[in-house]
Amino acid sequence: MTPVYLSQLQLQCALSAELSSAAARYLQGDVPQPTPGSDTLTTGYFAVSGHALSLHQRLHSLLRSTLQQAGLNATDCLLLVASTALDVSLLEQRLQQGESLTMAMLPAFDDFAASISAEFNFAAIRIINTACTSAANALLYGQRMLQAGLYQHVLVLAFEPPGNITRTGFSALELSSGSGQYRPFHPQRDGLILGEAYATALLSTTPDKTAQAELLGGYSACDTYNITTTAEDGSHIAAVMQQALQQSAVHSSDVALLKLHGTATAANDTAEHNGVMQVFSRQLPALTVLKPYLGHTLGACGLTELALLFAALQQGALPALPYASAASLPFSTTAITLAPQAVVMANFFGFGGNNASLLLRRC
Amino acid sequence: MFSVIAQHQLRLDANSSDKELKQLLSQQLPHMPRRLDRLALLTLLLAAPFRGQLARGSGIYLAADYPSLANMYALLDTVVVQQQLPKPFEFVNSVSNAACFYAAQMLQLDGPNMFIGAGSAPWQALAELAYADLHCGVVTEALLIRCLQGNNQLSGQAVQLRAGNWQPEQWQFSAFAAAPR
Repeated sequence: MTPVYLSQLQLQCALSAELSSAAARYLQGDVPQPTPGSDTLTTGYFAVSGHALSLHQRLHSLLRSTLQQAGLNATDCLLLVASTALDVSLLEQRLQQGESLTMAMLPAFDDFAASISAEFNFAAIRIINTACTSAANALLYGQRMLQAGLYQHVLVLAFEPPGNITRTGFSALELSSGSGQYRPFHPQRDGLILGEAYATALLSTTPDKTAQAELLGGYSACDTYNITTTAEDGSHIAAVMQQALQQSAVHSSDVALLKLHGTATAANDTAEHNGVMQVFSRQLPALTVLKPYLGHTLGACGLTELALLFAALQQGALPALPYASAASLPFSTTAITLAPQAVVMANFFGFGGNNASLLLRRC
Repeated sequence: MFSVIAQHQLRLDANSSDKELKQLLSQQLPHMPRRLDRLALLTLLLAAPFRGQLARGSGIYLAADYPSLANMYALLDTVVVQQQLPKPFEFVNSVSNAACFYAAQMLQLDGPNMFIGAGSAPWQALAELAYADLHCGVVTEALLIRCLQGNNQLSGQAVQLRAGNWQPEQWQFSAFAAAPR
């Protein structure tokens, strides 16, 4: 199969509005503090630091700079948009400002694409919503469409703005952290903290000088066990991870680092723990979680977490998990150094039974 | 590129209530899933004729012009206007590809499951995803579904595909429907 490379990574997140600074803070072990909820219904979240920009200003600026730095025209690229909320937060703002809610206000998916097309003439725009695997699927299908010869380049735009529907929704499901501590795989974990983030990446069959990883492959499939939780015995997660290894022609013993999904919810972490132990029964690779540093960026996490991870690996050793010795999986208690060309496996799971696992090799 | 195995299309009265859609679906299914929103009901009505026709690892690729409108309206009204917590299932249906989940459950499939906004070229978008999976050997069969709820419509089409030598001249459902079998 034709190799596909991940380059031109950009990330705006709670650690920093600039990727290399965010990676530097992550390597120092800095964790952001949640911005408190504005009322009794909404919980705190990890907000993007820096200048306040409107959503579309921010997204257009990211797309513009990604294309400019890559030296590409939009017409050369398929744009894959990965987000669960898209711009519904803008509708929330209109209602908060006193407009009356009507059915006619509800946006079609085309409306978002039209706002992008007003400035950029992409070869095509596709909006992907598979819950928290949206960006992972955007990367995976971007790779496959390049390998199938359908497009020259694929630009992935992944984002989750803060919205009241999302923040109250996870509270209604009792999945939000009450302690304000984001601790995946900790015995006293108490749920997730949402994160605001905006990210872009370019997928191409030839590596440019900014290429950070080769996307080897992966697998994404639907677990019909339950719409909000995957099978707690980890069987579907294990099957997806095994298929991902097979599709990527990688043996489990070749995986140097496993980036866990790690939502810090009781059911997800249990299922992922069980799935991981089934796949790596003999010897576990080094383990890492990134949501304590970014928050759960929902549909964007497939790209935000990989952007932070690979940018950090360029700068140094990954920090040890602060509570490694108490965690239910054997996280390293010391910093993790990865060799050049090391293979990374990355898990992403979501509502709607969506489970995905990707394999990447450092460039 | 493709071999078209089967197709199905449905055009319903846009004023049909969800209860009427459930009754229509219950005539085809031995067990009805609970808490289906309108988009999921339309998807299941389009997918129901393919029960027992697809290999377990087949992919489902769904494109819709809108999310479930009544569900989105209820969420905005509850959370933003009334400032209350949303109903859990309404929230889950809004952030997930719930319609795809219920289709996979009904068809007993555990393969890829993709939901996309329909955009201006829904059949091209769906066919490209399916082609990518067929080309890379991820699936051997694909079910493409398009749902329409906007502009006072309630309709959709579905196509079952395998890898083959036929390529549509135009990215329209009519081309898939007229493809040689």
